Amino acid sequence: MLPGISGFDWSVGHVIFLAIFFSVLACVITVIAVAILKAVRDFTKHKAEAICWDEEFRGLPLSARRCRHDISGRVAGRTCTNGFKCSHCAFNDEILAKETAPQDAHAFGFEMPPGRLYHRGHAWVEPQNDGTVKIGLDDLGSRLIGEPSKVELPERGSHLQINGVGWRLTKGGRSIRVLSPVAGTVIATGGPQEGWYLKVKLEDAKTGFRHLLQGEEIRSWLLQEMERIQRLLSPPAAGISLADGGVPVPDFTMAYPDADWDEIWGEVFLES
Amino acid sequence: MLGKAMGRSLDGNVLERGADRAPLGRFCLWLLPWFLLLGVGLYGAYLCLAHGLNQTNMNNRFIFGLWIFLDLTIIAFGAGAFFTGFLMHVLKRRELRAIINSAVVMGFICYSGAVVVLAIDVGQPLRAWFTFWHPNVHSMLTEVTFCITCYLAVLLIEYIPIVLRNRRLSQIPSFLVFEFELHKMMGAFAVVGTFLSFFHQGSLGGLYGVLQGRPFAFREGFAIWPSTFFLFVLSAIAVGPSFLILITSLVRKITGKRLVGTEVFDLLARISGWLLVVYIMLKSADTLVWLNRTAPAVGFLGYDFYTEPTLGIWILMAEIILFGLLPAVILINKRRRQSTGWLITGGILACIGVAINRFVMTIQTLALPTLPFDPYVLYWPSWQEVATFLGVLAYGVIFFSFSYRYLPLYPKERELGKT
Repeated sequence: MLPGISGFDWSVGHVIFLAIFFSVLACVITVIAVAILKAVRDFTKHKAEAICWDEEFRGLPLSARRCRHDISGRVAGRTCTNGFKCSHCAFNDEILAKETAPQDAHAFGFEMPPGRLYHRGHAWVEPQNDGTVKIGLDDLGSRLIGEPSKVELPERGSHLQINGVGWRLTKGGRSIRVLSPVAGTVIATGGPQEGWYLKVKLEDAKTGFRHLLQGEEIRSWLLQEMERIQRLLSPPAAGISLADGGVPVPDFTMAYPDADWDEIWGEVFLES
Repeated sequence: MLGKAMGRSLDGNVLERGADRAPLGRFCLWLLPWFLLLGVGLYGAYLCLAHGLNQTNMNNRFIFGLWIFLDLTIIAFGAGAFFTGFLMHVLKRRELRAIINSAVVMGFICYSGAVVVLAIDVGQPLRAWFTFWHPNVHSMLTEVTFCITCYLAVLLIEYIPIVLRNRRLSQIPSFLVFEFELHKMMGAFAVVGTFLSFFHQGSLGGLYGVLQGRPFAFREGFAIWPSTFFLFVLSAIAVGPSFLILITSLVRKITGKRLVGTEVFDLLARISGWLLVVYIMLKSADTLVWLNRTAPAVGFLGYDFYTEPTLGIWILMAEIILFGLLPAVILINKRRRQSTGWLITGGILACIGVAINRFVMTIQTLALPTLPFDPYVLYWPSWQEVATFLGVLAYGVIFFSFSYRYLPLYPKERELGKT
């Protein structure tokens, strides 16, 4: 095979054949080595969480990737291809330049206090007077899970990235991860008595909250989410039927124990 | 409490989210007969390796038997993997994204099965490295060995990102990031795979075409390559998409789920059909040249090869017309291929056609006499050979079943299940 090995000779056929073979081998090894090196570089440059989210986003069904402005009725049939990074979306800037109306404290029976902004993965953000923000799970998200058996909040000093893992909940043996709506450092956490929350010092205040849902678009988004949930809860043969009147129960999983909650949580919390 | 969420299936945490899979117990029941068959196959293989090839019905005349026929056939079927990769990554047919993962898995099963059977056929697997260390560069078989092992390595690398997309594994950030970076380079692997596949599919055909002592197989050609080199490549890429259609339809039938959209089947069938048309035209021309010029030049009339009724002229007609031209006509006809029944019929006929071609080249070539005192000999495989064959089949089913259950083989399945 190689010079010095019995049977090798410097004939044209031998050299061409082995050159092609070793070129292929070198190509395969190089590609793997480059992939490993790039993966290491992604970690050292803190790009890993963003890549994980992009991969997650790619696996989401189309219904979960509708543009926020499609949901709010400002445009029709627009799907997000940008991983919900609205801060870097020119179309979003253009739309949000228009004044948005203040939101209601209640929408479809869910508590949506004024002053809060919302992430598509059902986390709320509440700017504080000291420049920090509080983040937590919104009312619809909380009711979809009910009482979790375990809550894993990040430790103080942990770094969060937008669309990276915010915190994890466990229910019925299934782990549910909630996406972080902001980038920054966790400076305090709240337990069950105060309602689970994280207090975060923002990494870059200039980024602002353009990527978060606000004002009147929250109602449209909630309606869409309820439709999606109803569709997932409905038997395949039946159509969607939205409840007319009444108030949402505190724990949806108790009301629909036979539903495929694993799938529903995946869709609602944007986990493919 | 929570029904499905609490785990009607014990392995629910490992299953694809939203993918409706059978409970673990039923899955194990499905696997049981295949594991039994695999056990029988392993026993047959053990006998062959422990006691030698006297366990088979191969002899000095039939140096190739059932196993080489199996190898050539499944390697042709496995061409669906490299060809789909080529269409998607190089020719940018993005709609094939819905089926590329399953094509890679099928390719991996076909090639790994072929390599295992080759290792048993060679008989001394502990000395298998000799073929790499002391290669005979004048042998087409050396090219085949190098290309198949290299391509198996490429398929393994292409399989890794699919494994890393498993629900549990993808929760480990380093795996997901590595998968992301590796996935970006799949185009390079598609090109390397195409190069390797092109050459070994061709060399498998070429090694029969260069057999000057076997006028039934010997063919003229271009430069150092006999016509069979090109016909094997063409038939493999023609039948690869048909085999993908068949397996996907079979999985759909067994699971009762829509796995890919009809546009994917339509594209694969159209490609398969037109390539079959080209293949059948060239095959017919090659057969005419062989019968009228190549064989008479060495003292044989074309009819001399077909005097025995068991492998008479009917097999040539069946290969070219019934299992070549007919499926080609079915698959290029838009109305026909849009009907599931016709689509599957076309796919089955095309696959049988290529299997017959590989059977003719391996078995019929050796059955026919080449010298006046040679008898016509027929070969039947021993039970050990059949058991090994079935063992490979069982391995394929088991491997695919696990991959389907735990990996995202059909990314559109979830979406299509709701429409």
